[in-house]
Amino acid sequence: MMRRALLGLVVGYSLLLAALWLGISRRVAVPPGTTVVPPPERAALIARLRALVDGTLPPDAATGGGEWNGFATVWCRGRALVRGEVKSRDGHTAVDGALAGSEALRALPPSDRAACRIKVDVLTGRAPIAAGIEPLFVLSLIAGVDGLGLQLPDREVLLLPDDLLAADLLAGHRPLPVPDLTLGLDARGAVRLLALRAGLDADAWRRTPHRLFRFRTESFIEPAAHDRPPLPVFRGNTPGPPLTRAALREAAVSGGAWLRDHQRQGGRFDYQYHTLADQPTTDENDYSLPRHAGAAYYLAQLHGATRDPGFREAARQALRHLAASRPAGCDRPDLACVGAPGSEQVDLGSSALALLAAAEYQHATGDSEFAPFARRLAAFLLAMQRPDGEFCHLYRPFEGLRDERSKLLYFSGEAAFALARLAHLTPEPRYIAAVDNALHYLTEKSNDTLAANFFYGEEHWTCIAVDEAWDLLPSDRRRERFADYCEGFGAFLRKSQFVAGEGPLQEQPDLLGSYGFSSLMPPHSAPVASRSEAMLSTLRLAERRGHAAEADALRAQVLGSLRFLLDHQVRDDNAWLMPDPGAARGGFLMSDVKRTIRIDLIQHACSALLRGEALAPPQTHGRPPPIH
Amino acid sequence: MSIRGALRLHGALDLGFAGLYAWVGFSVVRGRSMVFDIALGAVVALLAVAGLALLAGARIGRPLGIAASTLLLAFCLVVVALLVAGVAYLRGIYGPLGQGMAFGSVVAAALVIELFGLLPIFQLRLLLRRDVARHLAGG
Repeated sequence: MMRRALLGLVVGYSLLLAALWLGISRRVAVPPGTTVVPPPERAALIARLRALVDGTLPPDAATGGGEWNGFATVWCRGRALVRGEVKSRDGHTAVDGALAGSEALRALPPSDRAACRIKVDVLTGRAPIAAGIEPLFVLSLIAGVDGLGLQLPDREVLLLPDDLLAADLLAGHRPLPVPDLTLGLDARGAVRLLALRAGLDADAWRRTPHRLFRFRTESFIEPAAHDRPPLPVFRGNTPGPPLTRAALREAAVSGGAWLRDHQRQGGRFDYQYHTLADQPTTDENDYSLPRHAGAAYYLAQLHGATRDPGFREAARQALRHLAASRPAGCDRPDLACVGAPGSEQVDLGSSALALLAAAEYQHATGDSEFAPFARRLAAFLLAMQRPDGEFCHLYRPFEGLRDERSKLLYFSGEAAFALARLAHLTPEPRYIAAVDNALHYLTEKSNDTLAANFFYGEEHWTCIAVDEAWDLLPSDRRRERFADYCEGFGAFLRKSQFVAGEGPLQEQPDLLGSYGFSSLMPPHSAPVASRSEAMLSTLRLAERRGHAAEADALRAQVLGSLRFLLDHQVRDDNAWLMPDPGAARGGFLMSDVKRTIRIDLIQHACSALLRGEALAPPQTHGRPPPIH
Repeated sequence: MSIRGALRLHGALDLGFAGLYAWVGFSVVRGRSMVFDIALGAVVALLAVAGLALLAGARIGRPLGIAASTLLLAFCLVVVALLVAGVAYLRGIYGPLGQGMAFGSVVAAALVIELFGLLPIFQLRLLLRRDVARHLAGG
């Protein structure tokens, strides 16, 4: 009796779980749709809309096929200047008169009007969301892909994906008190914007029955130069150029141009640039010297590849700024360290990457202006190294004291890489011994824990350092173990790389080639970029060691990432939400939904694009085959 | 193990888990809802009293233990159902969530069962035995 009751309970509970799963997941899913407006009709529609906007065609002349509702928006300097409803029925497409009769549009000079972009969003499906439960509400939209709708008794108000992107509402929730970790919808901001669009104040909002829902669109936009057919849009982005050597080089140069153009007098860069507001960050306290040094390194690297004197000069100015950034105690005859003037403590990373930039500058230009500075920086790095190979990460220059306990991300790998780069210019045994010792610590001693059997930390600088140091180190078993470690890191990363055919790509195909834990978060440029750099180095290691299968896997992994980076660089075509596309061109956004450019994103991404050039075919037709 | 020893072990486990729930719920991940705090306080109190009674071998220990275990088991089933509902919601929104998310969900469910489900299952199995009921009734 008892057993039967227990069995009934288990079966009943299992059925309840199954019913919950099926009922909820089906109810909130947007039904999969097919293409509503095929490419030829898109071109015809955009052409007619353009003629409407220019006033050369009456509103009812636009025609098209199929049966759909949507919106046409004219985006001018990052603003939705005018939006009109578009309805297609029985081969006839009716366009809201607002589009043709807009005063704002007519007030624009013809050249400005021509620079505006017409975008069409066709509504393809909708589904309810759980707006009453905040943790679910913030995750209720696929960021940048779904729109948010408000159903009122007498009408609907819609926020298109672009509206949510332009209002910077899609990376607005902070689930944990961790810097830079924002995930999901800014629920309050989104509701406020909906209420504003609906003309409801707080009282009216409470009194009026309402329901929120999400909806999906099929979107396309005219290219910036109006010279090609409309471009498909996904998550505020358009497809990048085909993956060719020329495209990679062009992208790398474009990123360097961003750094050069955003360099101020005195050598500093616009550390961050908010593309939606056309505003650089000017906060002095938020300026990262390691990232500044990384940018200087990349400019020198780019000069080496292009021989462009503009990049050389920009690198020189950035290095001069580093040489001048020396708090008391950091400018000794035997030793130099880099830090904000006046600060009581400096970090290892600033000096390590300054050394890297100085060594790269000398390597690329032959100019030894910074050679004495580099030698003193190297002396500082050596002084910060412990006997076990690890480095101390913080230093109090005025007192000459190392902080033996604090550990910060990246700095040890950066120091190893910088010393290895210098050792190529000045192969002094003490530099080589320091690199060897550091790599031994980073790849073996520091991983002598149970957890390290299952996980790798952020090891990108370490593997770049192993590659850089390879020819300097004795060819023994110890060196092989460094490379084994990096190949292991590569295999570990491949498990988190989104590849063709994976489930999450069904709804978000732009995840392809990026790295991530799940599809809840839109792909971010920084991890793709830095891991691409590290995997390019690991690929070189595998090739040197004759590990053909590993090299093939790494090549596919890197090509997938380079494809992703190429797609996600800011170009004129994908900059319609930005008031000044020229100021953003060449940059990399944190993600498609966090539309800020930061100098280190450009450094990592463009260094990878430049170094990966040889992997890409000289030219290609269409997109490359799926990776893996 | 003797019945007396088993009852003492469960009494100690009840006390230990009551302390764990109190520490986690009131200190580590403190809720903002007073209703939640009151409910948690009641569960902790019930479990602690049942634990003391079982340790002492008191007759009241059996009904208290059964009540506390039933409550915990119900809580466990509800939490697992909510977890399934939450992941189903995300599956509906995002489509296939990927292996990482699936693995994380299974780990979360396993953790819930381990923290809230195993103790009441074993305790109910013990307390619903006739010989245990007789033992406590005689004591």
